[in-house]
Amino acid sequence: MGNIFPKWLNWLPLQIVVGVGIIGALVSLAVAYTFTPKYTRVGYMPTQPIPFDHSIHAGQLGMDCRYCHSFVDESPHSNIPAAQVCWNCHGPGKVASDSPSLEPLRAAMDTNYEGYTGEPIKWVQVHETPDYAYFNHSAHVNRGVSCVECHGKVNEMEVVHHEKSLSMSFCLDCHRAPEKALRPIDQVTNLDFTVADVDEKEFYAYLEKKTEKSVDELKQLSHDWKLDWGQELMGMHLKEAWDVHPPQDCTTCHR
Amino acid sequence: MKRKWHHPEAPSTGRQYWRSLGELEDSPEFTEWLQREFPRGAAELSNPDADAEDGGVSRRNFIKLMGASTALAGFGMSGCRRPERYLVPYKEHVEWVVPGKPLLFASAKPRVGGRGCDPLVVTTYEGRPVKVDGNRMHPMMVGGSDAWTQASILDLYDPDRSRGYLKSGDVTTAADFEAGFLKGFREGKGEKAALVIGETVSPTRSRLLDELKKKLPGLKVFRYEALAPNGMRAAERALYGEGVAQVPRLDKAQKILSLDCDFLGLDKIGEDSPAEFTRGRRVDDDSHEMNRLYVVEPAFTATGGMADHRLRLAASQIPAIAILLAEQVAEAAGDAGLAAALKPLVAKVESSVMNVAWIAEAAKDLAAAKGKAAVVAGSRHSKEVHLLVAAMNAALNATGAGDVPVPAFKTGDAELPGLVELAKAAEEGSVDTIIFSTDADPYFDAPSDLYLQDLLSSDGITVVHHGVRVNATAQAATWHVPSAHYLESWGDLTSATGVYSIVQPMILPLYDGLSDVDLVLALTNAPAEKKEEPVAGAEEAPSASMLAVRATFDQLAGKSDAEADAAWNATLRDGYLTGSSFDRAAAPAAVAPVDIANVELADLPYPEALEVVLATSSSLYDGRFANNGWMQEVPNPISKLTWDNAALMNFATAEALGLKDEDLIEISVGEGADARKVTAPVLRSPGQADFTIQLDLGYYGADKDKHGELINEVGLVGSGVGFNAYPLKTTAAPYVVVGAKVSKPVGEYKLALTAEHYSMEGRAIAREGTVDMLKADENFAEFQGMDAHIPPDDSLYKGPNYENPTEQETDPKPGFPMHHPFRVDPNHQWAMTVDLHSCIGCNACTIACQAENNIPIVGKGEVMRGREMHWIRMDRYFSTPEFAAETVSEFDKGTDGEEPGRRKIDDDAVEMITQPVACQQCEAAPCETVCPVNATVHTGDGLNAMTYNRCIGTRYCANNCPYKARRFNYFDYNKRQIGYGNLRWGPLKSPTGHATTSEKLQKNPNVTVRMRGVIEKCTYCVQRISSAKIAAKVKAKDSPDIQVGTDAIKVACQQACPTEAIVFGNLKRTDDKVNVMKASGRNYDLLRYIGTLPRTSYLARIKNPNPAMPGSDFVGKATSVMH
Repeated sequence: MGNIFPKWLNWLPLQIVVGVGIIGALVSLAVAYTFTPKYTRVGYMPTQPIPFDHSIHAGQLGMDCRYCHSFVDESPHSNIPAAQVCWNCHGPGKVASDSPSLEPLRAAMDTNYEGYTGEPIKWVQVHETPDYAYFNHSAHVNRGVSCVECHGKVNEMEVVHHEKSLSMSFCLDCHRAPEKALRPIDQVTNLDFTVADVDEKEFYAYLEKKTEKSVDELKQLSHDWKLDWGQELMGMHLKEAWDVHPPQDCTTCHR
Repeated sequence: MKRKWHHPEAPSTGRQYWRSLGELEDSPEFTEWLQREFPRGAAELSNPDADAEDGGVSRRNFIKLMGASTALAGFGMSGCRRPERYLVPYKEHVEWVVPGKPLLFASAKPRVGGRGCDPLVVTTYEGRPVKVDGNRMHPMMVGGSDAWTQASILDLYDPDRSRGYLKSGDVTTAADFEAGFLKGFREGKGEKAALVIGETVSPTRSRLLDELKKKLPGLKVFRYEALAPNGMRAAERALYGEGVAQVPRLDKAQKILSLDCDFLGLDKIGEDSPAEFTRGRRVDDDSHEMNRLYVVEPAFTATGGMADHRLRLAASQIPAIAILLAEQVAEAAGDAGLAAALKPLVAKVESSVMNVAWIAEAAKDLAAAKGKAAVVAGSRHSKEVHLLVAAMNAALNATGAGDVPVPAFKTGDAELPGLVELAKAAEEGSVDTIIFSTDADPYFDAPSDLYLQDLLSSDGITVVHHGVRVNATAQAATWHVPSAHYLESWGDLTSATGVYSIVQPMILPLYDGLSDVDLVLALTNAPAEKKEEPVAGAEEAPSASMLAVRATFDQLAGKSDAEADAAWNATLRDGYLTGSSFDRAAAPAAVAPVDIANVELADLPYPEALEVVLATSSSLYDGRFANNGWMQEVPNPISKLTWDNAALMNFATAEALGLKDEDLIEISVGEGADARKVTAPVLRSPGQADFTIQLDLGYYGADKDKHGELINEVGLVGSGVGFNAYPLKTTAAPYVVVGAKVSKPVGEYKLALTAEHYSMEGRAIAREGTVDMLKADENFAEFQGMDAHIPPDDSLYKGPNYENPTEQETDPKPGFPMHHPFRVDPNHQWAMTVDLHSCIGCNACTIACQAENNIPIVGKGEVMRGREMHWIRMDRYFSTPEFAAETVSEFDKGTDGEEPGRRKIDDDAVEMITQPVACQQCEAAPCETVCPVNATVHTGDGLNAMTYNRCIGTRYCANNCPYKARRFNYFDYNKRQIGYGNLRWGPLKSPTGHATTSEKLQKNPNVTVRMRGVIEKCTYCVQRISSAKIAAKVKAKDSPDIQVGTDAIKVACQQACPTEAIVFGNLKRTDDKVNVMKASGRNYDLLRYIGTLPRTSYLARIKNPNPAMPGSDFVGKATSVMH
């Protein structure tokens, strides 16, 4: 009896294996990329009921973040300001009070306005942690982690968008190497801060006061770490001086 | 390397411990429970309370359903776009509120089951109360709470709460009630009107009622609650005159005798009795002195479990033993007058049936501690019993002026007529309008011989019911007025000794209910004219009830106008008015022989004339918690019964009557037409008096009317649960019914018992000893049981050293790029101790944990499958001396024989010990090593963490946990109404029940609400630890000072514990109390020999037996011989 199947069929199993392997690898790659916050969340820029421009308020006018987000340093949540806070400056006869963009604010606050409802403003949520993750703002901003680390340069954003992935690995990267983010506490809300703004000498003087180590000992430490003056060295020193050990236990965020 | 065990033979004397009768008998069912995490075929168990079509899902059915749900999932892809979520800040910011942080307020609530009030601290998030706890600043109280206090928050959000006005059962409005009733009432000058109030005494309401009575002179005020202490109050009136209450201070007594008074549990006669009692019982100082407790009671209570000497005695015999005791005390204390006065009574008592040696020695011991001894009697007993007790206390110098154990206070609380008088007035026609403003449910719980329902439904009588629940009275009444919960209302209360507290609202009434004060105001004054719409931004006028409370406060505080505001604010902040207290009453009058002459003596119960004790339910009190799922599901502290009440009787009684557990019997009292009947299932309970049946009140039962509809509807949770025992209650015998008969079994009824769930077999788990043992060897408890012969731990892997971490362990450096080493936290290592010496098994911790950690209820059917979710399991062990012929009780002799080698219970010598067990936070946790997905791992501060979002539900961890501390969510209990018919649908049905109702508002926002398929367990309230650690860091700012302060964290169970038995703290802070407790010689680990290194440890219970007492050799010796 002759051969029923042509000879090239002998290669079919291998072809199938290789083909499935390639397809599988592509699918995995696609999933690994598209199913992560890096792809799904970064760049999210919803339209807000009032086109509040952070670049004017926090950038040009130089308002501190905490003027509006007033409880960021005492609460787990960074609060969205009450309509009353906007009204303080944009009330009748004050700044741009008759701008049509502020219509929802007037609807909330201005009893003489014909569209008055008394309803609070419904801002669209941009940054969001899942229900099972408990992030605490106060723990970070009080220990030298700036707003900019997670939210990006909001002071340059006309419309706020999702800048960083805020995925679990994003959190862990920083918890494993906090020195890349730590800065003097009074610079936490200065979103334009870089290590170049710090005077090295003054910094060592501050450390001397904080740690009861002499400048020489501190410089020896810098030498041991094999680091030159820069964010990482400053962060390492601050980490030592403040005893910063960001917990990496599951209970840090999940409970 | 396997460790070699050399297990010595057990010595054959002493006591043994057991949790259930199944365990004692070594029944096959029990053995199976032990070997399986859940009962065999649990998935196939048919559901007892569902319809036939819902009954049981077989594995095959389940797979079918799963297939269908997968298929359906494909159609649900419409929501691929990101849903827009909104952040809605306040319009104008609210004072004090920091979004995301809790705000605590001091308040108070009427006490359930006793005098006075429970001063509270209420936790709110953005105006939403989520948790109540005791007020630790209160001058008279330690700040614990009871299970009812903890569960009361759930009543606020009960979806079946009264949501509006009803007229003859139909929905109506407040305006209609005003026009249809209130207007006419106010104009009628209160002629023929009656107002019935509850036991709670509110100074403002009392003041307003006085004013109301002036305005409406015809109005009569009555007082009614189902479980009122009428006998106690009558005795106090005879002793002190009107408006005086005795409030025992048990820390002032070294010797205490309780005559059927469950002062540690359900009969709150004192200000803070559990805390006072345990304060007098502390044993860790060098002298090892502690108080001694004698208890006489018909069935086990929390108090009986703590007793050093317990005598079981039918409740109807309490008057008899009171007489004998009084005589002996009088003689021993040298009170010849009293002894002589008692002689004629003693002659009437048949003392041959009493344990006279017990009585004589107890009396001697009490008299020896004259001035430091106290006798208390249960509030359900008669006036005569209380007078006899008062005579004893007088002979023991326990009453009168000075620092005495039983002081009396002038409460000024006027004596009011009760329900009997009301019924009489209604019958005579002198009352035609009755307003019930009481927590009781008179149509359901009134004595059956009053025939209140018939009486009040007669023509011409208008009944108004004011309450939180739409109960039997509300459904039958002409008008129903919704009541505000105490968390929604202004009011005021005084503690038992007169410390004044203000009840302040946490939230506006959810359903426009009226508070007690509001109701009296509505009866007094016409409503204010409707003003125009409030102007935005303008401050709202304070409510009328707040102004009324403020007026009372100003009178009481007696401050000048300038100081009054500050005093008011300070009182609101602290929760009590500094310096407020009732005046002490003068010494009591001597007990007149004529008053006690007609004390009622009864024969001992026997099979044809049984005694039925109608007991306070530890879960539902008088029925007011019937629709509270937490209270329905929490196991009874003694019987471990959930979702039901049962006819409890001892072994011997059941055997003599030919009954076994779960037999449904009919209990009847009286003959012919007057016969009153109750059906209930049998449950055997050791340590009970012979031929005494204990039946809990408060269950609404599943009795149906002729149309097949439930007679008593109370809501989704409580309808059809248990058996209504109130029909047995009469005015003459409200609590103790004698002469009852039981039928042969009329059927079978499955009970949901947790006694055998998660059992730990006969290892020395709960340990105890005596004062003498402690004096001989402080560390005696450490080496009880297997711990006496632990082989050396020669395992190679030791795990991190938490005690003295090496430098590498505190400051680990990453090795490989992906290797992130484990860091031991040098500042914090958490640990807990539970002092069994103080634990009374009251369930407060279990419910507090449930409230704090969003733990769902699962329903009776699921409990029967062993799926209850309580993170804290309150174990209860009974112990008896091992079988010895001469100690077997009378009734066991001769009936033996059907099971050879069966051990007997000597009911006279049964002891009880309770032990809360939650996750032990093992350092070398067996659960962690078996988790395939690292969902449970250790943290650097010594917690056994549970990451719910990572758990895939293999349940390996639960199987490997030696303490059985892990719970599995078989269903979406948080999303669906309990009951198998609802639960089993899973994702095929849209959520119903808790998640869709107001109950979700109670959830703690800091704890994940778990879904189905996830294991959960105690985490030492990790949310509280986290917030304390973060608070320390926020405070530290740019300093390294990040250690949490001394005893800065109170975990939920610790905070709720009324006896301070639970201590939590940081091993790395030497001044934390937990280190003191761990250093005690009584400290021991559970199952130490398996090498899990648990962080929770227990302190052994110490008993203080009186060597002269009969049977004292066996007291407190159960675990000392375990091996």
